[in-house]
Amino acid sequence: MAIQLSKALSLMLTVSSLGFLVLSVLLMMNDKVFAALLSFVTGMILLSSGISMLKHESYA
Amino acid sequence: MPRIDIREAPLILLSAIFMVLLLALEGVEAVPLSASLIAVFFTLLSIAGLRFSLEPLGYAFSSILGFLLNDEILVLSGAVFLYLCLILRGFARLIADSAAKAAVILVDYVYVAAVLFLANAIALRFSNIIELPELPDWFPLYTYLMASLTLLLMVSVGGKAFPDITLFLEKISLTKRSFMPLGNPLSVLRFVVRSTMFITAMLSIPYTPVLLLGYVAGRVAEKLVRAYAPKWIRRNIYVVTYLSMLASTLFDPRVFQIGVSEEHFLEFVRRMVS
Repeated sequence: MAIQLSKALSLMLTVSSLGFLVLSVLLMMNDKVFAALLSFVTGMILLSSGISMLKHESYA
Repeated sequence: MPRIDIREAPLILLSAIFMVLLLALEGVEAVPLSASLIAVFFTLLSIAGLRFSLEPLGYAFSSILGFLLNDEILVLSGAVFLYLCLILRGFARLIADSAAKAAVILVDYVYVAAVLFLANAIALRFSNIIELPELPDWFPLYTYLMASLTLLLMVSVGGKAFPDITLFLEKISLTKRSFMPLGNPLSVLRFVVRSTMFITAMLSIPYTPVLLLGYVAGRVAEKLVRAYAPKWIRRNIYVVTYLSMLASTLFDPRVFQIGVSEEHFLEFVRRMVS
């Protein structure tokens, strides 16, 4: 059960990270530089967390 | 342990005395300010164990000659001359020593050049002796970027709590055998996160410095938190800086609305520099 939950959470993090990355591209196209950069960092952190959880799960 | 090369010490001392004499003889206004600053800077560097000596003399000579002849190109060429000397020294090291060491030295020199250009720009700005030369379009932008980098570098060197630049240098200067080993994709992601936060902080200087403050506060907090944090936080400690930057946006909510077009940015920098 715990593994399932962690898998769901990691997938959620990864998908939401992609959303933030797409958002950062859209913001950049509208010249909103700082918003785009912050969104990019948010996306990367979420992606990093997602991968980290996936890796942790595979070790378990 | 800092080392001083005894053979080069007299030259450093000579350049320092030369500068002090000029200050005394010519008066503060007539003295090539940048040359004096650089001589002091290099003397300090030499004391700290980094051995630079002949270059400041050449640089000072070129700057002084420029001021005496009222030739602004000559003043600026001092920095170029010194930069070339440093690059040559880097290449000499490349031949005599290992490639990795030479790469580190060459990358460091880019930042030394930034300090030189900044000092020269300040000197030209505050000097009433000569008019500002017609600068090419890219020059204000270059000065601005170098000034930002220099500011952050000074904090980095002085504080030791800001290893982002060091990390960046380490990655681009190929000091390790493999460039960003792909065995662990997380290290790449963390590097991207850190670099982006660093670039955002640097870009924010002219627009909304509160982001830079958030970044610096976050980096300091990281250092403080690291000792007490549990292991899983310690591994992703950069989140502290990220949260600090996000918190700083509360003080300036228009961060999310700032648009930076190329012309706007160039115009801003031009106004700031001139």
